Amino acid sequence: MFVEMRGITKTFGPVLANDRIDFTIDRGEIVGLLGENGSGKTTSMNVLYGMYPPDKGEILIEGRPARLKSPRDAIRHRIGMVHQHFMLIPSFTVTENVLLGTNGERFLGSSETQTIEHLANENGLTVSSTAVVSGLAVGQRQQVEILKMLYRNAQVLIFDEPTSVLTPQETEVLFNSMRSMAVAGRAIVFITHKLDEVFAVSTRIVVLRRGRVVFQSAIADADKDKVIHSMVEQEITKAQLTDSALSSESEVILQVDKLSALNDYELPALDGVSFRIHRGEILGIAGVSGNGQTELAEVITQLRPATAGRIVLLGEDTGRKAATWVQDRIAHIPESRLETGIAPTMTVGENLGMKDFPKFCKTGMLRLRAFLSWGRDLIKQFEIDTPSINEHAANLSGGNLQRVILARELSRGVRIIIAAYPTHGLDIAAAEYARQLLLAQRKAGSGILLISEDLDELFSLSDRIAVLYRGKIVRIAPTRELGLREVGMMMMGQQGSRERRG
Amino acid sequence: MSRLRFREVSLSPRATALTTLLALLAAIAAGALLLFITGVELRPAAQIMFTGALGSFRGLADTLTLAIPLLLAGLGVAIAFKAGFWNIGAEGQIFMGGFAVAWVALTLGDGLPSIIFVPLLIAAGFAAGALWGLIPALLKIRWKVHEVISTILLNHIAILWVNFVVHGPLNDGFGMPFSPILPRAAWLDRFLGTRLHEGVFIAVIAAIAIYILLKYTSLGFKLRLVGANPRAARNCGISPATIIVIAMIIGGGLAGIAGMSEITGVQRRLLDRFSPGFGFTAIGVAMLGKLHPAGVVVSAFFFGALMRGSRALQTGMGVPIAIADIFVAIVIIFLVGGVLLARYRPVWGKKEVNGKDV
Repeated sequence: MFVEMRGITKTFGPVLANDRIDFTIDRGEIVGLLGENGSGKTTSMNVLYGMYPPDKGEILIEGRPARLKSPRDAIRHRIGMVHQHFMLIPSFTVTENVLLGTNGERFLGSSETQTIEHLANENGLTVSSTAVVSGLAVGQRQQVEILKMLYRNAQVLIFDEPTSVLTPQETEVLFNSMRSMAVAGRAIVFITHKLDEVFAVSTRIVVLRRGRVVFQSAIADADKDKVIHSMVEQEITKAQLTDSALSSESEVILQVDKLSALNDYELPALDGVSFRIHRGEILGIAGVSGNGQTELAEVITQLRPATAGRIVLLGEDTGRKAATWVQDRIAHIPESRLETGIAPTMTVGENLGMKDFPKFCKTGMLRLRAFLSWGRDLIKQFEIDTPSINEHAANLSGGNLQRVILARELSRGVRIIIAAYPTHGLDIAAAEYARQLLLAQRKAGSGILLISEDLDELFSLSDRIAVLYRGKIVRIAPTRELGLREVGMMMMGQQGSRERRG
Repeated sequence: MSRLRFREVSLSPRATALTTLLALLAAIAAGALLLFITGVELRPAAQIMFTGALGSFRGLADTLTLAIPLLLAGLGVAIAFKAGFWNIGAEGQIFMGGFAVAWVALTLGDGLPSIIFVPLLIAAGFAAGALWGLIPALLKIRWKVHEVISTILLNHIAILWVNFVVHGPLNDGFGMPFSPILPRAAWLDRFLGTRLHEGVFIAVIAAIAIYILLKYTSLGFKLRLVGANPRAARNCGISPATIIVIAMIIGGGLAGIAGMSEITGVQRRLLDRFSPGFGFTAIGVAMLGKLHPAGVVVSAFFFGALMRGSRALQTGMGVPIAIADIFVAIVIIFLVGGVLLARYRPVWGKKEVNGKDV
């Protein structure tokens, strides 16, 4: 075995991220490392790459124990990692980026250009060593990151969800390159959510769940159903929807027609998505993150332009409406709390009143006393734990910040709610509180778009579920007609069998 | 992986006051060290600076006179910074304000009563500064030109523009680099034989107005929200671009009024380089005042005293102007740096993980 990880345990505070993980990889292997978000895939590989020391366990390289205290140590042991987010200097050439931080810096402009060109050709990479990085497409930038590792003589290459930013064509190039690297005797670890990709390129498959290895097998012996079975939790909490009084006649509150949009890399992220949400209905959006959910929420709340399609709120097309018209009709519980939901340097009161302050304005003047007493009421009503209304929001805990956002968005009497990962990162009590609030809103006649990665949450809260994969809705159906495994499969790009949940 | 990191904390008012005081003491110590190294006797130097800036009637009046443009331009910088726009262009806005005022005053000539003339000139100064401030705002919104670059470059243009007009179109005809004296009715009156002029009222009124704007108005709330988190503002249906344009109209306008008060109160004619860098010092004024109007008032006075004191050092003890300027710069670095950096606590430890993708 080239690398052997034995009994690796890693905790972050109360969270057990890796629980006695045993993992091996040898030359010539491509290991697909699968698991849902939070299953510990990235953590285990970060341990191997020297990013954090394990609490327990040991790592052997070619049979000898190795202490990897930093990525520098890992690279010395010929272990390299290609991250999701690239660390390149745009104004430098490919060669310069590759040489940066190595002794090769001294050879800048010399024969190293050819060495790197050669390295690229050998490993099926198409990027030119003299190109300037700022002019490269995403897939080629990723190749530069790979070259960085190859130049440092990495024999084990760890790819952290490398295809999430790639087009299908770029993905094919990457896979070919992975194959030729393996043939040349390197070892590849491929972290992903996507089942098809694992079966397309891996020689062996390892599945993690809740920080433990729950399945492994050679790819030839692996069965897709079994793999999915092992990834998805089976126990389901009881559905909390008792009053599914929804009928197709109730008013459509939000309608989305053939909506398309680009992501931050200007690549298609949403591709002709259509759905309707009625009064008193929760539509759950299931999907592995990065399949268009973020963009969907942002387009509906007008934080991101649509490239095609239309959005109809309460029967009116939003195309020509002012931003305030839309914001007055939509409650948004954003995915990125601190980036979008909160102004950390402003006070709790100001954060609560961010949207409603015009109600306290008279000829442009803010009636501060009424504004503050209204804010104090919200703090009480939503049980926000803060020393004072004038405390800076930055000093509140994550759960309390989410309460601030919930209070601001749900106290307005707005009937369209876009809730993106509303319980992400919250403790059990706070998460339950958020769910109860959403159910209360549903009862009061709101239409809710609930984006979540937590299938339990989606199944227990949603009237209907839509599965989003690569920017398209794969299936949309009433929750009772959907099975957990079926949704899990569709989330990974497999057509679900039409089994019923019993 | 253990390494040194910095964590941002929010300071209590008491801690803020204490750090400011300590920074002030450190600033004085460092400044004294500089003077000592260059062979200046410290005790008389301190005495001359104090008397020159605060300890005499004339000195105090001069300090206040210097504080007027610092306060106006400092408020202008502060309001732009509050909106998250790094306006380094107050100096250029001062020059354009001064130019517009001189041009309007000389064009209209005598004949208007002071009660109409002065407000008209305030408006002219405001308009010219606002226009000059608007350019970098629009460049940023339309073409993403970074405002630090554009405002700095626009400073040069404005300074050289004034240089051109005082040698050319507005020259007084005697070949000196200044314009003719402005009509009497355009002047701001001075008090009790000092150089302190009515501009002090304009500056104080401006400070109060900005205080009310930021704390008690809808516009002020939006402005602070855009500065605190433009994305959150957009999520509330507020357009950051519009708010930045408004902030730069107000901020540039205030700096323009600083130019107006300098021209009509102190110089009474347009001349080359009439501002000795008020617009740059105003950045320090705004930062030290923590972008709060009351804080800006105090720090404008402090910087005025510092400028006056260093001039006294120059005239009273023959300290070279370069040394006096370095002294001022050291004090600014210590104070502004101390106040800004106090928010960061060094932490020696492991990388924090916020439960994301573990």
